Amino acid sequence: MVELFVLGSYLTDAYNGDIRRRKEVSEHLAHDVREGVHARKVMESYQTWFGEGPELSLLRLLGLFDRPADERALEALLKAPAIPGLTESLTDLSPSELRTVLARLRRARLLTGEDPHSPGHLDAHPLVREYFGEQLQSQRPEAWKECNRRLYNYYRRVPPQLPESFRDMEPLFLAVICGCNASLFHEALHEVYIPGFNGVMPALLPNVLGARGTIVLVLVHFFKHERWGSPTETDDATQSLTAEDQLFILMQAGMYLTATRGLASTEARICYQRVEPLCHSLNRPLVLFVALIGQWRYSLHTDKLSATMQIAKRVFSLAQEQNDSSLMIGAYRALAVTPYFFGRFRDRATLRDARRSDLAVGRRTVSSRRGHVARCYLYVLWGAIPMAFWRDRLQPSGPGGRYLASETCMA
Amino acid sequence: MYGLGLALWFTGFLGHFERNPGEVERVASDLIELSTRQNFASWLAGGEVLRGWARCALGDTAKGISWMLGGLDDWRATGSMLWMPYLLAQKAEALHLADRTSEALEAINEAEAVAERREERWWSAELRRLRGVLLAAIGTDGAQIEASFCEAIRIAKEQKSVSLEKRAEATYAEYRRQKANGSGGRGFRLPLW
Repeated sequence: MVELFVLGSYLTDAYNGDIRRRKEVSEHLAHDVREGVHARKVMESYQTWFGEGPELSLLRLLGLFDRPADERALEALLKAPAIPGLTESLTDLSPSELRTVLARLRRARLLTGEDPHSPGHLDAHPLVREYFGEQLQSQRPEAWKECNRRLYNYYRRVPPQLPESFRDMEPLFLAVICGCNASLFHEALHEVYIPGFNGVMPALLPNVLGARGTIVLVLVHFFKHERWGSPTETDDATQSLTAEDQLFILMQAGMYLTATRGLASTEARICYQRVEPLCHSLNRPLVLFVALIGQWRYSLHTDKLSATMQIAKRVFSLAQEQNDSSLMIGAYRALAVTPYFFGRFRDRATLRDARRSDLAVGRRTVSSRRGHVARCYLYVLWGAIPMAFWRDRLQPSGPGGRYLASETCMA
Repeated sequence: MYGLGLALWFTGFLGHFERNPGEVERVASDLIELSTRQNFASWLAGGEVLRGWARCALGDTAKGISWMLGGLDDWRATGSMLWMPYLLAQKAEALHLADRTSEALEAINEAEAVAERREERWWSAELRRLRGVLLAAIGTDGAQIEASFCEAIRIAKEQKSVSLEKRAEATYAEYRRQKANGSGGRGFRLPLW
């Protein structure tokens, strides 16, 4: 529909409403049925008709947003000094001149009417935003970067200390995205992502506000061409992600991708695989252990179990090297669960590993929730213990369930 | 929260092992709610399958099967093959309850193929037992039925799974009882559990 509205408005503006001239705008469109192409052609025509000036600049600015642009964000973009190649024609406009520009765009239906519930917000159809946004990014990359830098500085100051809703957190997400778009990777990570997402209440965003999907959308901006597994690089040494930063980003991506895309997420596996060389070079065996567990889990869900067992053995030998009881819990679990799926319920090694895991859990309960669940499951299948006994401990409403739930929330 | 999803998932399994569809439905609903709120793709798909099985076992096979099929598609879409033999066995149970026994047998065939391909044999004894139940229902040759039950018992013994062994033996005993009484007619109605 948007193309019809915009075409109609364009014919009114440029050709006094002469509908016979429509072919001059869209004569070559008959063969192209791709969605939005018609609208794009009409917008191209409008662009030519407007010429370079405040209207086009404003449309390009709106292309930076994926939602109605709020007044203060626009102010941040329009403040002096002007952004070269973009806002020169806008910064010196008087309020009445700006209203005239807005009126022209609204008459052309390139801007939507003012929303009485959100005064001061400017919005356009998503196709209009996309068209002019892409144009800004591809044809004026320096201006696009500067816009993102300004928006980063604006959004990072908006979120409250203790957000109560997902909406409260939106500026935080936008700040990280704009920071990355402005190539301020290091700053966006250390000054916004880590303190904001993992700072005071690390479980708040994913667990209470259920924002995992959005966190994934944010995280992808730290990756080259938004391809998981390859953290981005930049020429500016001060804004590059260090090896530690890359490790952190990859582990975050692995964790959130596993949760949101499933236990067999290929993207998560790629992230965990890329972590390995970093762990070796930085000597981070604990992180390597978590990454190996991530690979083991992926393999358990997708590969032949004999291949999974090889990874379980790697997990175990790493835990042995570290001689750490909490790592041993995870390692025994990997060693016990894999043969369980083979159907070797009372395999001597399986039993031994599960029992050792038990002993380790008895000594140290932290990080044991998954081991606890897996053990209960094994015992039930062995028929060794009455099901009801374990069911009571597994149910979220039961005493064991509360333990599991609260421990997980805290993790 | 992810651990809570895992706990609910296994609680659903236990409900299914105990043949308690009411419990499975309650747990599956909690799992679906949690997964929707928290964006957990795997648990959401798994919850749909469990809820579908419970619905079928409670008598609403049309709705239950449609939920199960949707859940299985979503599970496959995550790329995971783990638990697939078990989930397909649940599908077979649901189809059998809806008197679609030949389709149920196809689900068992698929489950066994997946189990062999991935070496995931923990539910194989139950797959053989279910095959025996389904073959008995459609009145297949007795030798095939007996072979399925015997194989189920053999696998369970080999795997040292007390619960699956007892289950297979009980169903086999029931089959022999009905056969001895001549109550089979064109097919035996053995209990699914």
